[in-house]
Amino acid sequence: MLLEITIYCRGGQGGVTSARLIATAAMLKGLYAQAIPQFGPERRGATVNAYLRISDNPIRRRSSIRNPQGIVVFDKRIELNSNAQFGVINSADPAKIAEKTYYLDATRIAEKHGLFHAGWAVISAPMSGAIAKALEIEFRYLKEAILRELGERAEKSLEAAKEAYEVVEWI
Amino acid sequence: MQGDLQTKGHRDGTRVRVLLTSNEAIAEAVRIAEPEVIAAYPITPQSPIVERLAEMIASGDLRASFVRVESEHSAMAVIHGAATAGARVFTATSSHGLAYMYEMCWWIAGSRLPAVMAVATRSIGAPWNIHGDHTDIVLLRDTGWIIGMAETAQEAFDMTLQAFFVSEEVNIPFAVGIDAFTMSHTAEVVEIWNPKIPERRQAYRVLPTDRFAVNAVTMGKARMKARYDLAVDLENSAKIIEKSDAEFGNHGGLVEKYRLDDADYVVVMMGGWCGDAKDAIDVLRGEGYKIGLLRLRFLRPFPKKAVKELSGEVLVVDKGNSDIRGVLGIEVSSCGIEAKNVVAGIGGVDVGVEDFCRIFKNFVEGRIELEWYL
Repeated sequence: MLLEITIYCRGGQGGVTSARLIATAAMLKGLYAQAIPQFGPERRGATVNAYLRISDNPIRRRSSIRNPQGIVVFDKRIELNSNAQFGVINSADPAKIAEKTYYLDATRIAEKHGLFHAGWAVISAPMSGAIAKALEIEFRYLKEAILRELGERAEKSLEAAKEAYEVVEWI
Repeated sequence: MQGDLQTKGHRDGTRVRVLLTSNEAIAEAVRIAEPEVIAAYPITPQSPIVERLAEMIASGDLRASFVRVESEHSAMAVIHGAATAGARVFTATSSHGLAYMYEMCWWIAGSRLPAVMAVATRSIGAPWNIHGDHTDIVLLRDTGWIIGMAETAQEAFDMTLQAFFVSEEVNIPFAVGIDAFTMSHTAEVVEIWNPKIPERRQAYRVLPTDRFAVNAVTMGKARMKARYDLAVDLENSAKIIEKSDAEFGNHGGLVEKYRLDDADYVVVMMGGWCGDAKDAIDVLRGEGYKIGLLRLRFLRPFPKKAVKELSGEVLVVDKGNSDIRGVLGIEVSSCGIEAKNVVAGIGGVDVGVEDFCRIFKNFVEGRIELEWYL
């Protein structure tokens, strides 16, 4: 099993952090994982991608992901060109982006838990909660991943990730 | 970040699984090696290595002097001076930074001082490009340095620790190469552990209080003899690398042989993209092609024995060129092998499993002599 996922987000929203949180959670579950940022300069507000690979075997390839099975969309205004089998989208309304879609209002959850940076809602925690649910990664692994990656700053993120894990809905 | 995680577990020799980029894995290895002096100037994509080390020093996890300098030339000069006085030393750079410190790379090798440098390999301008290829690290070929090239973050971690050991054993500086971004910024599962590295030792030390001058102007054969001794000792460092391989991760010594035993067709490569090449080799094997990979873990000392032993058709895939030929293509040909040669991935051009399948199939079907995969 090799699962490849592309995350579409805007610089500053936390897409790279999300990839890293999910990769860590997958590792804690006993799997192998890669979290890959978009290479090169990243700019706040510009569309950026992050990539995620998860496998039950060591992952050898490290080239870019061209045909992901899953996509994750942090901002629904980003234009997509994908035929992924499943997707997770930050949207208050049901917005189908793949055969199997999970949606949640991650921005609202982040705002509710006070997750801001420079006035922007940082949605890595709630989106990670939703991705973990979609990938059937138990919440305890995500919780441990958040604690490892964020340390003392983890509290609000843990609450937001937990709420997202519980409310995310399928279409 | 990850502070308690990194310090628990491995102190007693057990292995701990963590998610690290190759940059972070190298910083972890350096922390365990406990250098006394680190000097560096930031450059993409190396910067996270020395940023992480600076954080470790600030938090007290690592007791070392971090010397901030105005250029890479000075970074290597600081390392040179500190090593002369007997300090365990480390620096890291990439691309233009390596070019800028090039003169001092000769000084430290010629002075026979142990030192470790990480090189996150990146294209050199012009035109301007921050992405990965091997055109920078191959610059070191003639300096007398040991040059390793890792494939994974695990190997970057293990090789960095081995670098301190080998360098101090043979009195030759050691460069550890990792690919820009595909390794330097890609987080993956690494098992960190704490191998024993002996106390710093080196051929000679000169302290500020000593009335002694090093590297005076030479006359007659002294310079030539020094150069000869370095070349011989660099050759002999292969034995130390092979012998200590089992203590530092068991990666195969100078080379890794992948599905080579019954191979009629052999691909020779180095660096992180060998992982994609291995996946492609599995695909072609599934289609009945007898193909394997000789992965060069070291560019210096060059694995001449393993290359000379190759049988069948040989293709070298290069990420750095000299003229129209790739650098490894030239190196392999110098061993008496008539190798085909592909140059690819310059400036970070993405080369994935599908690309390797295409290249390898063309090779097996006799359609490649020398080409650039554009």
